[in-house]
Amino acid sequence: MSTLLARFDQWWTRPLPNAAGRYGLYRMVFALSYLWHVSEFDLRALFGAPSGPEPFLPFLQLLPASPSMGFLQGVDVLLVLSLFLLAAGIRVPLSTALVLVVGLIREALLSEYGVENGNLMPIVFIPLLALVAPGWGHTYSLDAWSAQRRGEAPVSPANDSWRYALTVRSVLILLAVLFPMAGWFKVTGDGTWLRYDDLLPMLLLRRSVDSVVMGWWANPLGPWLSAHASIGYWLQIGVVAFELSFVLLLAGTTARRMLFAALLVFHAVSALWVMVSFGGMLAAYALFVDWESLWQRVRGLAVADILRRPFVALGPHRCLAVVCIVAAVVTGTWHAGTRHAFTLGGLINWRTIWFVVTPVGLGAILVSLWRDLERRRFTSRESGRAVIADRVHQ
Amino acid sequence: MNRTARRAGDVVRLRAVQLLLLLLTGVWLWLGGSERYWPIVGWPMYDALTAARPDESVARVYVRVWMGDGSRRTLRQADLVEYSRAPLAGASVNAAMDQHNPRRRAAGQAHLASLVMRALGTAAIDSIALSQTVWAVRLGQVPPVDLARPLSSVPIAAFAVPR
Repeated sequence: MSTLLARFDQWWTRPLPNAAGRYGLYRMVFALSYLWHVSEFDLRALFGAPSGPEPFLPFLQLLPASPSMGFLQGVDVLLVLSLFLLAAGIRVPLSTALVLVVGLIREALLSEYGVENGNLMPIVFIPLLALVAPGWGHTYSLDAWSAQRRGEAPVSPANDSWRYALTVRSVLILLAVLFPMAGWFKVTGDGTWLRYDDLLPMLLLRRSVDSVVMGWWANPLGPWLSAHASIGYWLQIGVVAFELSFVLLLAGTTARRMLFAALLVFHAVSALWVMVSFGGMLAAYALFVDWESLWQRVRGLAVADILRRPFVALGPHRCLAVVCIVAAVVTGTWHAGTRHAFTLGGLINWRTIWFVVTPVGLGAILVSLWRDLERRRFTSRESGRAVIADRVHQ
Repeated sequence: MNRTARRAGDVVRLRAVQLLLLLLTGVWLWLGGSERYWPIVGWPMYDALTAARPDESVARVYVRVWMGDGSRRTLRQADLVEYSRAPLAGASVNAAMDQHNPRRRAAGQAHLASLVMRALGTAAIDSIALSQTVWAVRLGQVPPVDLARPLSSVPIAAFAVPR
């Protein structure tokens, strides 16, 4: 038992390359992706809304029964402001806590109109973990820059300490628990996934009809699915097996990369043909990207230097003032139209985002898998040569 | 902070994270697929899904809007709010058509008018009419619905929008 616990701790406390830098940069990616999510829906649309189809959640008893326009506007504005502060790294623990609390209130207000569409991973789990395992403000933040000016030792972005890897490892565990749980519920719940052999084809056909009526694209496989509906049994088994297989996320890097590659395809197909959006999950998947190594590749470029130079010239205090002014302008004009900038005027929505993320993500994963394979081949070739040289020497 | 104290703090954080994950997993398993204690919910993810073959026809409510300048615009429910929040537009349209409860109907119409103004980006709206359009569904074809050829389009309700 003690050996098992020691191995468990070993897994948690392994170093992670560039841990501090990638966690700091991820904070910005997280805040920007959350701003995109907030920009998609104007919360003021809830003012005076009739009751929704979902049951009233006990959590909502903590909030006003019929929120006023000012309350709804305040929630949106406070969340946007907190996300801006978080992206810039200003008072990071406080802005993280605000993002958690205000984001939760916003999502709770919307739960009456589709609780299953909630995005709990970015809204609850990631900010909560960032509070319990802080450190995403230690690099690439105005907080860190100010501390450095005060004489505190800076944290190197290349720092590989496990303390900066707690959130990414926690999210890995959450995914390895939540996905199999979804598969488990499908088997043990109402059992419709195993009872009906045409469940998924019928869902795909219905969604294809819905999609066309909404002015979107039809599923080109519709006629084939209609004629071969019994294929659904194997599709359903496949989905359940796929979800259960996510325990393998903990099996190692190669298994993880392959699962993420399959996951990107799964989400793209879901968005395209099942009309189910997993856009909120992108914030969780982004944790597994080494943003620091990407930044190191682009920071030498002239464009990156031009972008960085004015900030360096200003210094942390003036930068803080500039960020506060920009944040005030953006939050003040958020509902007047600034929010549309985050969706590029509606171009990036819950569906189209997958057309960008899936090919880019798949490409990156395949390249890293190929490099791993090449590295292994090289290592085995070199060790083979060493053995031969050793024998010749003997 | 010296190195020993920082390490002790890191270990405390590690244990706190582990405890949090353990608690979450335990509560998820205990709750099953229930959403009662939201936001502490597992991932039922359509576990009780039921889907029958689509009917031979499909009906949708269109929102036709008469603008202040005399022009007319037609909106689908999907145009009113972001897709994942479509039940909000659905609830509004259903309430606006309520024949039995005048108070609910009035509230629904007021809310629908606000959604339309938000979607069109203008408050210059004279009146709104709701109509139900029906199309034939042909599953053997792509697309399965010919939007240009509805089977019928029936007016359901109309109301003036107070300025």
